[in-house]
Amino acid sequence: MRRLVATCVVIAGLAVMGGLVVRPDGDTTQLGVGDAADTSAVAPAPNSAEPESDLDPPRDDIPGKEATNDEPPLSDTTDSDTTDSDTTDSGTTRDSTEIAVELENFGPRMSLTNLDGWLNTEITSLDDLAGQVVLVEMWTFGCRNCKARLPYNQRWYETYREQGFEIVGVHAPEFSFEAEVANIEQALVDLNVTWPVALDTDKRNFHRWQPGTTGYWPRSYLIDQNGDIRFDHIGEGSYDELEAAIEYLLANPPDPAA
Amino acid sequence: MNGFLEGVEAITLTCSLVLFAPGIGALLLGRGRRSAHIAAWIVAAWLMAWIRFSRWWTPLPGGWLHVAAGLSLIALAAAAWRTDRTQVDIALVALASALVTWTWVPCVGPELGSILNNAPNEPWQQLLPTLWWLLGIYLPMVVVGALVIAAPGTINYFDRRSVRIVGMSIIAIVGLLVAIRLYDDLASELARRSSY
Repeated sequence: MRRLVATCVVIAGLAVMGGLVVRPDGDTTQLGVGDAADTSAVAPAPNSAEPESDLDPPRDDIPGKEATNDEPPLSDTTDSDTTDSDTTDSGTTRDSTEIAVELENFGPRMSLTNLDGWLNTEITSLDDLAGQVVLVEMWTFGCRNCKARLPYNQRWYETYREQGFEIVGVHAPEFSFEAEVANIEQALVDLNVTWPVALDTDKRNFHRWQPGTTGYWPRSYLIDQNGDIRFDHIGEGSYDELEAAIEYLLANPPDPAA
Repeated sequence: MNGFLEGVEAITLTCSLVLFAPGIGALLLGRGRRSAHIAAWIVAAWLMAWIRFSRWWTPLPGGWLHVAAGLSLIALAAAAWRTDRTQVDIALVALASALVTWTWVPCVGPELGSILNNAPNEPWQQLLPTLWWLLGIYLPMVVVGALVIAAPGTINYFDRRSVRIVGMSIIAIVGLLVAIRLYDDLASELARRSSY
């Protein structure tokens, strides 16, 4: 019994330590993707260099940053003409420039190669979307965490599409049944995915952009009008930050000559 | 939902099978009180996951590496079956754990995503959250370990030859499927059946 108690104490101790670590500086908010300590913008390039995290300081200043992960997507609360400020899930005002002025250009210009086709679109290349802000999302329809992002994507697609925003889902199947086109097409209907989907059946692009053991579902890249990667995020969350980055890039397109 | 609960929830994800199933196999394969085996498994998984998340070592098994990883799992299971030395047993368990964690491609929820996004920039701060998340996914192992400690009589049950054969078989089958590249197909079928 003593050993059982000792084991419980050790486990409880680890739990407490874990809890303390995810609450730095006395912040009682659980950290998640999208919260202050999240440094989503990691280096995305193939066989990439060390990641950078210059997004940290401005993110700390975002009002309403707590309301991210577990809340439902916004429903028609965003004015499609709004670019510099908006109302977040929590009802607080967010100034997108607080983040976006620090948006780093991670480059290189993103490309998708050796695809097995496209669904929901006539385009055949990311180059066809030059001049638009594009959210490229690596996903697969059987992945629960990928599906959790879809309502947010749908809302952004409806809100910002007319302003020059596009989404490209790069469908990289984890399992063989997810690689069958008929299953993918059915899933797009079931999940209400209306944006273009590139078929990366052999996961060449998934692994090219996430080399080695850095491949995860889902992975979101925000591409600016020049085709450069300006925001990179692994997993669910960071919805407010990503939306602010979309708004910023729509309002502040980069110099085409850059 | 914090990292621990997200880890518990991840038990049900097909993406986690490669991490979870061999752990149960190692638990059954061990001898005597399993607490050291369980601790070795979790600590090895923790360190390997953390090294991966921090991007200090990132090669993913593919091609001959995949074959080597699968065969190594089989060899480790066989060696653990034969050895009478607990220390060797535990070392083999730790190696097997590191190996399966190396092959693991996770589906990423908010908490694990936070770890993954932050680890390349602040690896040491993500060390304990990584453990916290893994304790969630390995909660069944921890519970069994506590059960064995609380009720030593259960050791006799777990030490039965048939139980150990089941444990070794789980690891060996996973190793074989990984080596011949059929593991994904099996997981795919399980995922399909659970999805439709």
